[in-house]
Amino acid sequence: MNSHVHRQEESSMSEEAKNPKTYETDVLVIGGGFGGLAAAIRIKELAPETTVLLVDKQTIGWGGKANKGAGVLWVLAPGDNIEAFVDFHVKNIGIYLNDQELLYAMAREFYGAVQKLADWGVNVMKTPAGDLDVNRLPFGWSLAAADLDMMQPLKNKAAKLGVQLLDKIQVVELLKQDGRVTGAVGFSLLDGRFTVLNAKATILANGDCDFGVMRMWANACGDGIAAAYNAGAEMRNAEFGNFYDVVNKGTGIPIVFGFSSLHNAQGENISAKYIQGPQPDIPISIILGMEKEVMEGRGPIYIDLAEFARPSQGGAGIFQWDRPHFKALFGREFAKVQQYGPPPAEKTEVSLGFTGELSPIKVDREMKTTLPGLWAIGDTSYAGSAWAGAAEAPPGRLRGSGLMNALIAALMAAPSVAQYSKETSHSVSDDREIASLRDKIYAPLNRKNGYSASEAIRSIQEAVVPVKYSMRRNKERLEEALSKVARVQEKLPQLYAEDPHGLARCHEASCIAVCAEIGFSAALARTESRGWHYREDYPQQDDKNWLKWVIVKKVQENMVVTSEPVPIEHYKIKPGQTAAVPDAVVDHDELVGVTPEMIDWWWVNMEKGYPLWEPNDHKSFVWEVPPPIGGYLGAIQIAEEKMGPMPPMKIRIRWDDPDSCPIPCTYEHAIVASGVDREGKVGAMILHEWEKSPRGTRMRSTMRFLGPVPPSLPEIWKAHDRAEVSTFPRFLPDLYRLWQAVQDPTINRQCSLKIKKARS
Amino acid sequence: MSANIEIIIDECTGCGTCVEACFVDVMRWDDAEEKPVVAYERDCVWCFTCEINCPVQCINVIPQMPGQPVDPY
Repeated sequence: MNSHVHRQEESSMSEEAKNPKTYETDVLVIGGGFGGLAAAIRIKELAPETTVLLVDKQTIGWGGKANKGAGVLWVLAPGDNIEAFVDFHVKNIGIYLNDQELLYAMAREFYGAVQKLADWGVNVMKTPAGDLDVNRLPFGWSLAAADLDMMQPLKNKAAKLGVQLLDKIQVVELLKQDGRVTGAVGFSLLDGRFTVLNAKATILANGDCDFGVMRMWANACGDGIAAAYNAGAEMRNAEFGNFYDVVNKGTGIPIVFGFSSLHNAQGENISAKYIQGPQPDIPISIILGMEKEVMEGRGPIYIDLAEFARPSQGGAGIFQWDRPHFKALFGREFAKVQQYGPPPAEKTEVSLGFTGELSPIKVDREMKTTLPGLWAIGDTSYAGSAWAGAAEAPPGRLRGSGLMNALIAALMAAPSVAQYSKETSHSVSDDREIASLRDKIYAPLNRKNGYSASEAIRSIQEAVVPVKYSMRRNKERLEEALSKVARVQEKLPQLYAEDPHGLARCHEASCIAVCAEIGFSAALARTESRGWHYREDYPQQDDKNWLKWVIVKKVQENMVVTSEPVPIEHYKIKPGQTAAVPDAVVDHDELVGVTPEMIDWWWVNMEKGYPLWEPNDHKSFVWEVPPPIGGYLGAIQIAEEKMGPMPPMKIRIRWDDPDSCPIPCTYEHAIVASGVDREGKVGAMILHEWEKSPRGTRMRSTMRFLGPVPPSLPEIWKAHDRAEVSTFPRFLPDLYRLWQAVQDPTINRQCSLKIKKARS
Repeated sequence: MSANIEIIIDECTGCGTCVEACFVDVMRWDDAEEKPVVAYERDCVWCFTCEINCPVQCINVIPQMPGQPVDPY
């Protein structure tokens, strides 16, 4: 039996319990999750003589987030291109707020880091040949995977190396002397014993702030973030702590990658309406779109489960490995939903699940905070390290980056922590400071009634969960949200607790409140829109004024918000650089037996044979705006199709005039297909051109990308386009002939696409 | 979010895994009985880790749904 379990404590705390139990260690790691264990192990590997104490508010080997998610780690596998990876990430996810040098440094370590994990005993998925078994994604990177029992081998490895493990200690405050962090204080959840942790070097590894909303990550209350902030550490990118996912309304369970199969109450596909092009994960536009649909009376929102369940859907990749613990966890959850959840309905209603994922402790490339003696790794500093830019910690925009971030941050921190602890001596505790902290920490236990922690947390959730505060932001609403938080903070001195468990909830409530204030304050300062920060009053990205990081810091008792320029001039990828993607051109094989007039007819009658055009990849087709009688301009189609390894997408395509297209045209017939969003913004355009040839028709298709795209997309599109056009001889002459019987031009549309102007 | 947790205590072997597995401090250990107790049921987030890892499968966690405490709209 483990020593950490005891009989439930008495309801009142004895004075003896308040006498400190003191530990002295070279390195203190706060948080025994994936990152904390990795850091402790690595430090012992590098410097076996260094004493390392790892504490967790729950139980090491079980707590943290890592073993409650998908268990995937993004890697650059052999064949993946680091330049393309960084380019895509900076332009599409981080939107130029990335520390690009750190991003490169991390990406170079990915593959080796997973190998190290395997060396430490974690069940990493491998091929029979012993290579990493990766799921290659169409965006230029791959996913490796570990089974969800990953914490146990890490715990065993740490113990074997001599790391001291201490469970059920809630750390509340950091100790400081002469501006240097010298450990921390807290208390035991079991017996309430006041605990002093003296250390030369301290690593925060106790997670981000999820505001107690999502059940599986209920523990992530920003304890470390609040402690670092209160000690004077700087915060960065706190405005990117506002993550939402699509959840099952009846159960609250997230539907990973569910964003691509959503419909409103009228049956309209809102994924196609709000999402433009392929996305590696949930885009902000669908969050804002879901809220808009509901607010404008077109709710509730439903998920098309048949569509979602297709094997080619994005989320399917996480099920490809044989992982018994992964299957046990999610299999049990599924069975319980069947048994105890809402009765099956004809349609599954979804909602937005706020997770937050505030992770703003500012760190450098060795994961050092701005306070000497303090490091922050994993989800405490995912956004604060700035490698990810304008994005929040996973599940965030990039699944698989959370575990990898925790692992690499641990590996990056370990050498400098080991070195620092060697060069530093223990400081002598200041008894008066410790006594004062003890009184402050235990104050809620001295009250029999007052403000309850659950009420405080609920009130903060009412400020952070609504989309109008955390996602569709403006000055007025952010100030309103801040005043809601302030009202909670005013009452925090009245928090009361009956026992150490309740005392921990009081401290979590305080941490959640300060995290909410940090996040809203940063969001108020950033007067532009970028990445996952959207300001209704400043809807444009402002590269002139806002290539800056928002910095939040406590100065005396005040929250001070400033900004710091992103050193973009030192980085390789800069805004305004033209897209490096050249036009993708396909010269098709001669279309034998097909006349140019048949192809003219096809473009305005596509609904009559869309699945025949590419029987494998084409799923559905509707005209949002049908072609006008005798013409084609302005017609808009919603075409659902699959391209290569990507999940099926609904694409909104408008027929445009070749005369207005910048792509040069040489054949006699032409049409332009423009991929457009709801505002009419064109993301990419295809010029199809064709003319009579000896045995039928010759044809060429040219795609021009107007913005950054996944590096593999041009080749994927070319293969798809070639497959489509090559089917014309098989079905179009027959289809065209059959339809000649229908004379009504509103049903059988007629249109000549022979271009009038001669072209050079 | 919360749950009801049922333990068939006569079948429990007293291994303590469920107490160790609980990441929200719901399960505690009764030193006198050498058995687990459900101490803070209201804080259960129905992760099912205790139930899955029980070697004799004598725990049943009954989740309370729905799980959304605050309306996002």
